[in-house]
Amino acid sequence: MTLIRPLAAVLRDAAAVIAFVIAWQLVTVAFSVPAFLVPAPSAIAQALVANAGRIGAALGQTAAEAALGFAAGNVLGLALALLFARVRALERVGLPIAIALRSVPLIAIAPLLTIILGFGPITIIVMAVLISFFPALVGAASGLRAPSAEALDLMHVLDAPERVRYARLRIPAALPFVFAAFKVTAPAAVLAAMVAEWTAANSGLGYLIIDAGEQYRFPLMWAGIVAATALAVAAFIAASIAERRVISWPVESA
Amino acid sequence: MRRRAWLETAVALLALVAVWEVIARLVGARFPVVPAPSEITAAGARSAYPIWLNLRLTLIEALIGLVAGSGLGLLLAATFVAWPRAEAGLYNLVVTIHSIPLVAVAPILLIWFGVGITAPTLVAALACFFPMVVGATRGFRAASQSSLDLMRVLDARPWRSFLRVRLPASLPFLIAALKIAAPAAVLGATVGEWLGTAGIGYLLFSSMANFQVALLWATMLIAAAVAAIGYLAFAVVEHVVVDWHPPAGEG
Repeated sequence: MTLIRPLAAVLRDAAAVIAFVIAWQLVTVAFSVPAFLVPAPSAIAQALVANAGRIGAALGQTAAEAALGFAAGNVLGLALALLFARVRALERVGLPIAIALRSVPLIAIAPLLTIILGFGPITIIVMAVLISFFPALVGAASGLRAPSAEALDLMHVLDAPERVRYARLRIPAALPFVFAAFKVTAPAAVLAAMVAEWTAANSGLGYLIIDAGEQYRFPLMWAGIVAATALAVAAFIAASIAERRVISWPVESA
Repeated sequence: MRRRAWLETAVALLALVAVWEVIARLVGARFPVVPAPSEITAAGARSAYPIWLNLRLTLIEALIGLVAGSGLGLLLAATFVAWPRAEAGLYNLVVTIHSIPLVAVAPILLIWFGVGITAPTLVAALACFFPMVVGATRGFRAASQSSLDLMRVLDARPWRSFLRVRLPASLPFLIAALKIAAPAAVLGATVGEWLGTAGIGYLLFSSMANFQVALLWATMLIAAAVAAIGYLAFAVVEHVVVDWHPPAGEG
């Protein structure tokens, strides 16, 4: 998926979205669909405006928690990957565990994390850390090993110092893997924060959605879902833009 | 060599459990939220039957979700390959649907379908759908152009060239997608059960609410093991079936 597309394609997508919303509005009004099934877009927009303060505060909280966790998880993951590249024995033992944990649905441990770390923002941030950590570690560890044997041999023949081998060869080779991980974990960090808000908070977007649902305030619930989706999409787009800025050379898109 | 790597990992894990047991016994009274492995095992054994009943439900939901979600994903990817115009129109819709956080979908599905097996199954299916669409679309595209040209020269019917060229070429990608989808199905079912009244997700939530710490740990570890088994099962399939070429770019 490219981000910078021809204007015509952007317009076509926008037209499709607008047509979809109009059709949704018409169907809900024409068949008087009850709000607990699907509220009309106009009702959702109304709820969004009427509760702008509450939704804005929840959005800000979730975004901050997700961003903090994402940053910390990636710093830790990348640092450990660099260590793995230097200490092979550590990598041999640690990488299989990391690969397995990357694939395990960590979100399901939110109740456990809540018991261990208690009710509050720490649990939510740590959840986002866990979600970001393993993909960063696995991606960077594979990327640092990605340079071809020929390229490494060349560095060896040229007697390049270790620092140069990393700066010129290993780290550039790892970047596409790292950014591929970013594009997955940036929206996943939002998801993780929202899940942890179910168990460890009474604020934030995750809590707002559940709370509104339990009070049968369905337009507010959907407004929260719209806000959450926008946040996740924004996180993905930010990661894609960062990738585009940093990686100027052609790579096979992952 | 591979066997040795596995052995090292196993030894490292065992050492971890041993250290955990010792530390938990030394400071356990002051740190009750992390019980010793022996306590967790005992709690799991005491509640083995209720855990099994809930696990069975979650497994059924996850399996149906996996089959339905990745089946639909496969169909959509095949549609994309057969009619590229459909992809232009639908791909962004698929991405948008995928962007709606699963945790936000779960409460809606619960309201729509009520408490029961439907909502968790649908969350599981949704979790599997997207990895399969992406993986299968890439896989069907991975067929070599010369093989496709050959089929065309031989005047093969489109479905035949799909079956003989595109499907085999996509196999590594399909299995890679299933390796992601299988644990995701377990996750989806679990999250879908959180607000419900049965299943592993419910057990996690209720043991948290009742502060049954050892039971919570035991349930958690079982859920993680089930997800890991789902992943490993397809990793084994990959190892056995796809020995001719691994998909590029997969870690």
